[in-house]
Amino acid sequence: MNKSRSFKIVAAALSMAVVLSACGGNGGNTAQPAPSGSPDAAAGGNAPAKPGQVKELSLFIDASWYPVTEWKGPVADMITEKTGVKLKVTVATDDKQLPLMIASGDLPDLVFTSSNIDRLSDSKLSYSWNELIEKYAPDFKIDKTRIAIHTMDDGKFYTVRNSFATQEEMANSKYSLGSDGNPGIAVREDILKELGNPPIKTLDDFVKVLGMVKEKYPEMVPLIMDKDWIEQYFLAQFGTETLLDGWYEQDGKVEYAIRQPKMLDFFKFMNSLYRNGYILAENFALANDQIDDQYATGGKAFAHSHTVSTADTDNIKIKSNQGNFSFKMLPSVLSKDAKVVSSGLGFSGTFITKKNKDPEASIKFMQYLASDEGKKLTMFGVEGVHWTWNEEGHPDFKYNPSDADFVNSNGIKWWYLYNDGVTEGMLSYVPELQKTQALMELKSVRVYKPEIGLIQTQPDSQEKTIKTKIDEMVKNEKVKIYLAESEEAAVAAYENMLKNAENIGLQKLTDWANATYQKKKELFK
Amino acid sequence: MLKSQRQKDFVFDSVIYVVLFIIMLTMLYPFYYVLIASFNKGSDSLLGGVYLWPRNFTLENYRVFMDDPKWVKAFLVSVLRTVSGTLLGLLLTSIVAYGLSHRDLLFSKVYFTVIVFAMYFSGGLIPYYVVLRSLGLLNSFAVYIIPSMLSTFFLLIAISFFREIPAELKESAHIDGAGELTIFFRIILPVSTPVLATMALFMGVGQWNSWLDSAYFVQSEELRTLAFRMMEVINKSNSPMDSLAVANSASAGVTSFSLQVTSMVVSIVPIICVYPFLQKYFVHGIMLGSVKG
Repeated sequence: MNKSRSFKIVAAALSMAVVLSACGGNGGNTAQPAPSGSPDAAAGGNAPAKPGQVKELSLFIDASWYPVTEWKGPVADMITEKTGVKLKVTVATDDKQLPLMIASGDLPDLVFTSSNIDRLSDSKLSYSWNELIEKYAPDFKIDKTRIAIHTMDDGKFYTVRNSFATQEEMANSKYSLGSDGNPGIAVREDILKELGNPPIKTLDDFVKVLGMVKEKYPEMVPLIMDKDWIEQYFLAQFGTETLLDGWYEQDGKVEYAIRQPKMLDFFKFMNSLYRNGYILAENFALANDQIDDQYATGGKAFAHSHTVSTADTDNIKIKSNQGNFSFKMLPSVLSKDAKVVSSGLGFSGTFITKKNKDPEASIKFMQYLASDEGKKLTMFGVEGVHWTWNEEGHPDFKYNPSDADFVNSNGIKWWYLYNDGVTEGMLSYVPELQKTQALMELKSVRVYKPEIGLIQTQPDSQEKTIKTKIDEMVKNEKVKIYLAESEEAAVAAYENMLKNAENIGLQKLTDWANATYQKKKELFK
Repeated sequence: MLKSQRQKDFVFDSVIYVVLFIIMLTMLYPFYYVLIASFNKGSDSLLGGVYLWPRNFTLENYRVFMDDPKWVKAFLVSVLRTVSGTLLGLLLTSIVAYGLSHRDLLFSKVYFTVIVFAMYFSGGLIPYYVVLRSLGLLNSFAVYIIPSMLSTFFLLIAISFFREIPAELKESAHIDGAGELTIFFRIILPVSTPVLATMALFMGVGQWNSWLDSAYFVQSEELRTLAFRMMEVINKSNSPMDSLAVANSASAGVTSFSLQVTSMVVSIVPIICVYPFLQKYFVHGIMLGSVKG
């Protein structure tokens, strides 16, 4: 009896203890980000590293797909040799990990991110580069455009994105071409030959050839398009200066893409391709980006719209399938109006967090990576081992820059915690590839307007909601225009799309964009 | 009369079997497809049309997948966490459930309210992370074990099971002089294999498949689990290579899709091996309390 009672009490106590612990020790613990007045911040870090003394800094890379996860290989070793810094790298598993670290105050020394730049550009979380440069690296010079792009409302900048180049920088570097992410169309060489090699110098020429293909090879699809690269090539030819979800600038004011007067011509053109049977209706409903490749490499299509490396890529696949035909690129410029506006701001930036144990070594590390030597080492590999400098102004590679296994295993390119679009763009200069020629042609009509890239809606804002709704509506309505049964119907569908956008709040969005644009433009003066 | 009844039964049974067979196929085929795709050359799978068996048999996907020496270590960590996490989880859950299963327990309503509340509401990831940090569990093997030792869901299942055990069993053991611990370990647990096996299966699968704790709460490469490594492979296979690089690597045969299906197979196999041995208990255990009387 007694035993039974004591058991009950023990059981009750045990259960109580366990239940309470299961609920989590809710001791009111909240994350305490390091205050800006902490010794960490005020002391200004440790003394610079003595030669032979290597400091280890922790780096978090906010990109789960990142192909390098360890600070090793010839490039990393050489950077450590030059800077006295080595990195302990953690690559994100998903996009929630960095927000969790920010919220809990558990930040590493350095963070490399593209999607959390606005969030980390905050004096509570990161050191501003202005103060670090002034204090520790006064000879670290960054150009005005980059500073303008990254300056926040508090007047400071906290990072500089890589993969960015200004108009002047690109103009001064003949062999810096940009990346694979540019539109291009490849056509079947053998069929062109059978058609008597008709010239293709304008869009009209191209459309004529598509007509000839349809007539002579009725079982063949004249033009197949990758699901993500349907409009870009033709938008560039019409000189719209923007894709369907961006802004274009005219006389100092910005307007939304679908209001661009040349847009109607573009839509009419696309609709005529459909009505003439040159493109397939189902092309607008393709679920994956392999189907168009199969049409092209399987010999079922004459022209293939994708990127500047379409011909090179298709030809590799055709060769491995023992095919007996090949593709060649169309010129990137098929019209006098052709124009491409680059409003990109770069890809990712490195932040020196308030938890950083050595801000001085960190900013000097960034300074080295930003030097000409550092940029080339990062992007091309070790000079003499991986490349030699050609006096023409470009590197001669001793490896194939498209060999991802070699590039990743040697840590080439991926330590570009600070770099620029010029150096990166030289990776594309491989004279024997068709892609190189296509990029050179595109470069001749490219204009840089980073200030347009700064028109970015903030999360959860009214403008963001309006823009998302308009973009979603355009995505659905554009297909109705492409597939309209007559040109009149296409024009009516286009006007209907504009009306829908007005009803959603296009004018309000445009007013906000102009206000933002004027403010951002000031930074560039 | 009897004959026509039998015919009816036969027809009815046949329809049931056909329907069940179709349902079985729809359940099994995705697994089968993943299996054959993992043994098929990746670049060939992209062309479509691989439905019944590998068209272009290769072990290359598995070779690339296992190329990293980290795999063995991750496998051992996963095995260790699954075994120890399951055993300790079973022990704690059954002890607590046994205590709470006494109908005359003081404040039992309060305990149950707290348990049910904890089952439906959680603080979310950030408070959880902060709690783990304040307990000093971050970046240690214990973070895999301690937080998951007590699951409210299993607790409720185990409580209802223990309540089904006749009180006379305990009473007669008491009369024979057995203490509470003896009764629990030597009488109650041996007759509770159905619920223990059920819990073991769920806990084991949960531990085996868990990657989030390895990603968020651990920084040491030594402590990474197999599931985390597989997430890493899947993530890396989404690297934005330029199309030329993709074409070059595809001609070597391995693609992101073939790597992903391979990682699926590797993660499913151990569970498939364990499942048949626990299934008979599992069916029994999960049905507990579903029938009164």
